[in-house]
Amino acid sequence: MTMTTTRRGVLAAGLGAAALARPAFAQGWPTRPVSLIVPWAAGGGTDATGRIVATLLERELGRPVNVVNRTGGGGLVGHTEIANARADGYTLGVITTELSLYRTTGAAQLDARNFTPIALYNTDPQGIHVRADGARDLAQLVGQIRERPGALKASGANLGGASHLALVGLLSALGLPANAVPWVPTDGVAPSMQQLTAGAIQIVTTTMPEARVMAEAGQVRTLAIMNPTRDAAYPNVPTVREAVGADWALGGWRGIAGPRNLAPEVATRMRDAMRKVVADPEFVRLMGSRHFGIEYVDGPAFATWLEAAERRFGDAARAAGLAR
Amino acid sequence: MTARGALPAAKRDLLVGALAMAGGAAVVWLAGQIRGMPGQPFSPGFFPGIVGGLAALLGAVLVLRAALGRAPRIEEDEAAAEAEPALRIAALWVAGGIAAIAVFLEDLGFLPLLVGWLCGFQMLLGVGWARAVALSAVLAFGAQQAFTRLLGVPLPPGDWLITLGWM
Amino acid sequence: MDQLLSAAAMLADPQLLLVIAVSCVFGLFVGAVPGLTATMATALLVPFTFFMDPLAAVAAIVACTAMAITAGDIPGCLIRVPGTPASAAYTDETYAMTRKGLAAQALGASLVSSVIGGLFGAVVLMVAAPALASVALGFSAFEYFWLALIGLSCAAFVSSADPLRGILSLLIGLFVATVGMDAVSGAQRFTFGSTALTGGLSFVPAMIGLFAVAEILRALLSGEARRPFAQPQKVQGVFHGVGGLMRRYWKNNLRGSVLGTTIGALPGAGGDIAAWMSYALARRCSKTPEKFGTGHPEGVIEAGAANNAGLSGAWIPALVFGIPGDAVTAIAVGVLIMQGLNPGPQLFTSQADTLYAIYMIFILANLLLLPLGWLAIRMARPILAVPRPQLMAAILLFCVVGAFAINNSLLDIGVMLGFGVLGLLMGRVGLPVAPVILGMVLGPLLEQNFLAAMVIADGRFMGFFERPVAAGLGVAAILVWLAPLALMLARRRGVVGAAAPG
Repeated sequence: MTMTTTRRGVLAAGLGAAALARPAFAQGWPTRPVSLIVPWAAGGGTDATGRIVATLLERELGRPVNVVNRTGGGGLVGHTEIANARADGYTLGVITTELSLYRTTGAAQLDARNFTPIALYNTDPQGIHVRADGARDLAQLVGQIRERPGALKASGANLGGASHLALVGLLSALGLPANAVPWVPTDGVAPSMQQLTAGAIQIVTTTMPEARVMAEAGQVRTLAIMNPTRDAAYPNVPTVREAVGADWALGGWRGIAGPRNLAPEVATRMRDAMRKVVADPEFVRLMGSRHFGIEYVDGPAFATWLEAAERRFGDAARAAGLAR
Repeated sequence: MTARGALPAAKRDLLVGALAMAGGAAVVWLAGQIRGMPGQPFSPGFFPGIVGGLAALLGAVLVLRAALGRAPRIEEDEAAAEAEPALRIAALWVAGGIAAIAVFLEDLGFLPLLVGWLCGFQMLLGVGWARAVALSAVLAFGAQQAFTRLLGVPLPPGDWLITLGWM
Repeated sequence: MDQLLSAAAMLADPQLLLVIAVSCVFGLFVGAVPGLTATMATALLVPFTFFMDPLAAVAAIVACTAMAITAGDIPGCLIRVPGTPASAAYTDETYAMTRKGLAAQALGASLVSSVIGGLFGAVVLMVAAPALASVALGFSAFEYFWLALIGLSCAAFVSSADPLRGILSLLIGLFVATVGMDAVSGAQRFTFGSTALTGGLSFVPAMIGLFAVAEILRALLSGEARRPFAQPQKVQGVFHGVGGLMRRYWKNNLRGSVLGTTIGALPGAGGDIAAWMSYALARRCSKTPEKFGTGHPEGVIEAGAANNAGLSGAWIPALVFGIPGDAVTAIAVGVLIMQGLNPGPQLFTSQADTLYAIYMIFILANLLLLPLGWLAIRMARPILAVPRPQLMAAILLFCVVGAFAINNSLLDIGVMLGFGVLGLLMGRVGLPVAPVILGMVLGPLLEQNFLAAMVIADGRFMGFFERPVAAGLGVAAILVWLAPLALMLARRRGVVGAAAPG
């Protein structure tokens, strides 16, 4: 990565003043197509929301916005790509929950400060899901965990990911150690759900939209939602506080960002565009059809929001013994 | 008809076996350096360690088999015939060209690089320059249009062309 | 019924039909040109399929491979150079028929038996896959671990005449799959601190390198690139008298279809091996084994049906468990995962209509073989007149664009080159290439399910035998390893005669 940048720098210098006179580039941005990097695979939730945003951004910006999936390393590859992109506004990206975790878990020295936050557009609360014939409610499940610590197993995705932290944070809010429910690591929600329906594990923690298909098929039941208040999309699902009286909330989030030091004109233009996108009825309809929650936070406030998120995730990771 | 390039069965097994032993051992050592994870019975280095160990073991068996003179002759050891120098240069052109594309694609751009590379390749194989240029240009331009227009994947136009304001 | 209707509606999309038609023509061309394999056709097609919707992507792969395998018979028959390895088993037989002036009959028989074999395999896929899927819904990490292990073991034993080499190739694939950030623990493995390697060595560029770049380098270095293809004779009256042959040898056709589907469904053994085994079986069961090799259609019909049936069979474990049956389905599994359509039993409940549409594509593609296959036979002369330098230039372009576009990554172009050189060297020392791809697909499945299972079982190995199905699969996995050993011992004592195929 660094090699590319340096080499490009040398070449740009070699090509003369035009390349060095870069500050002029933001004038009239955008004059050509914009790439929107999605750090997750095509077909997933981030990809789906990213494509919705890209389609609507195209209308606002009047230029094509191409979604580019840069997958791998638990989103790290794509996030790094966005952070290292040239700050000319032609490479932006979708940043996701995992960004709040990389530094704490020691995966990479990458956090919100490597980006220019433009807008938060989606949050989804985590939920606690069991098999249709599993525990009746969260209180009963917690009782089972207290009775035989280590007997019940949970899954949801990778070790140290947001799903894992959702579980460990809940346990810690209940005064239980992280190993009271061992975490079965998988590479995604689908295999975790398979383990759950096959009866090999008892609990899956994941965001509400991810569990929706299985819940609607009657194969899994959601015991509680990790949100301060009930979610209008799931009126019958109690919050953790309502169910067991413990204070614990955690969700996944997605936002649009550019590399650090993004030209202010570009950032302003993008913030305007995103404000219009999230208010667009088409956006509300498309996000609703896939049950993605909409939460909008504008640029500077998004930066503060990200700092707070990093603290919360960091605390949970330290409680789980996952911090490095 | 053992032509150049094809190794006799025993020698080939010795070579493959030795490489597998060395590579496997290296993997085992590297895998051993990977730290374990809290709450997990095995470290992330466990599985690659087993793979490396098996490769080393298999390498040892291959070496032993060759030493005992039991290396089987199998279909896959198809003899490679003598290649004329022009073809060997063409092979080098292919490999070197891919490497150059990997390094310079963004700077020099898809069209100029690919046309030059494919053109050179055809000419090394004796195609006249006019026909080579024509086909390369058609192929590269077609691919660029197909990916940009139909599939929505822009191929790098070349930073120098952007700088000069041509793209 | 609703699902069938909505599947039919999905199929009625003109864009999808166009994709199928284009893939058929592409497969037909690749198959008919010697040196270009069905796997290579798939590898070159994948970057395009990546930007289609999942159904079109699968349709492209299915149509292209069925066509390639069938068209591979044509140059084998006419100029004694098989178009794809799957036709190699009976190339000499069909060429002998050509020399007797029976080229039309040979091609007609292999084409019609291909269609019948392909249709048979498709029907088995339609019946067996959903049934297996309903069982597989109850599979956990334990069962998946054993299945992946069985898949790897079969692949190791059948993919090469020398199992040791097959296993070594598999291990290379298993290792390659571990490079990068571990999907389950987040640990960096073999990245040496490079951010670029964090995403691992990408599957598609690796595959393009192994199957396409390596082949071009090999053709150049062996001098093969210089030799133009021989010009075949004109063939007319392809379907004349084929009906009589089919009635006469219906048993061979059926046996080839059954064996082909079964072998195809075994992980690691695809249509190539099915064709060799069927040809050998036809000879053993024949009343006139002495006629084999002299231009006799019996073996051609059986093996011709088997390699096409094997193609469909390979999709059974691929769709139900995500465990590919051969290199082509290994690629297909990779494509499905990238498309967000994770193969597995859940697919059969959540995407039932898509699956029905996939079955229909199998039927459609195999029926299309008849007219398009006929066309290919008529077109054999112009196809084989294509100049090699230009053909290779086009393939090289496909390789580079494909490797880059899949992830917009320059590193991937380097990965493709690395694997191209690796494939070339492996060919030089007699290591088979296909198991590398199988290893790359099965490796993560094996590792992740093993680690998950160990946590679930609290670290006890006996946990792998505590669920009844897991125990059964575990015993089967052990038997797969014991059987060849027992056979080897028996052979050494002279109990079993020379039973080697081919």
